[in-house]
Amino acid sequence: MNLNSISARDIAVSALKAQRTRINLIANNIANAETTRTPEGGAFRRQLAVFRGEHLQTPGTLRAARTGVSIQEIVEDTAPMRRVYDPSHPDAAEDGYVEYPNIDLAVEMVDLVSAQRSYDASVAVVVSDKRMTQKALEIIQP
Amino acid sequence: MAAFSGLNVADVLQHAMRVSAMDHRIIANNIANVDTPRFTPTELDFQATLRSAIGGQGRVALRKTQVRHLEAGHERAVLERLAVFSKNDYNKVDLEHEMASLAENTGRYTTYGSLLTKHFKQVKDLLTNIR
Repeated sequence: MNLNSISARDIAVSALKAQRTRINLIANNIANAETTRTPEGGAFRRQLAVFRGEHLQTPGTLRAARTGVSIQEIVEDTAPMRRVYDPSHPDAAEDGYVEYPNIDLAVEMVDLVSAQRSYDASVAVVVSDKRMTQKALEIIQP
Repeated sequence: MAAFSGLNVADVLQHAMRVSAMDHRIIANNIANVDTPRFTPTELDFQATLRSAIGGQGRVALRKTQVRHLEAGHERAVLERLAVFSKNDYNKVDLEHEMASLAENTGRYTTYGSLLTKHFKQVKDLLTNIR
């Protein structure tokens, strides 16, 4: 694959998509912070996106690789569930403890801000790419 | 820029814009991978790449005036950045640095674009006055 065949905009858009998915997962985690029942059984588990990226070029050569960033997989956080003593809860175990999702709202909010900043950075790339294209088009204007 | 003397202005500017567009892609890729674990950003040596792009076209033979000069067309144009820090996931992208490079490179590209537009306008003016 030639370097010229991949546009900077495509790379930026791949990042926008990946960050958007990450934001969606965070929204879902926040929405399910108190969910004790899931189709798989048990409480909801925090979901995380695993990003996979590659260098545009292998250092030292002009050979281009697959570029941009993509979400390789979505994994579940293996951290222990939050246990709350509430014997009257219908999902309480015999010892009176209810398992709540392993979601910390503070962590989710910090992740959200981080994802938003990364999204903004890629938007800046798209904007500057647009400016550059406009400038290139100006050359052929009479 | 003395090495480029005797070259057509439009050719040099065209190559410069192409190299700048290449740099833009590399910066975009670094920014896209700001959250990718174990990612090390790459960086383009603008001068070296421009020199090798012009030399590679066979339009000008680069002269080695110093021992340290590299052979044209064999230059390591893309370098792995020597990062001084890394995040917990071994990602070495410095977003501030990338945004600054992005702004710088966009400015460079638009300047070359303006110069090329100006150059063609001059040629056109010249042709109009001949008639």
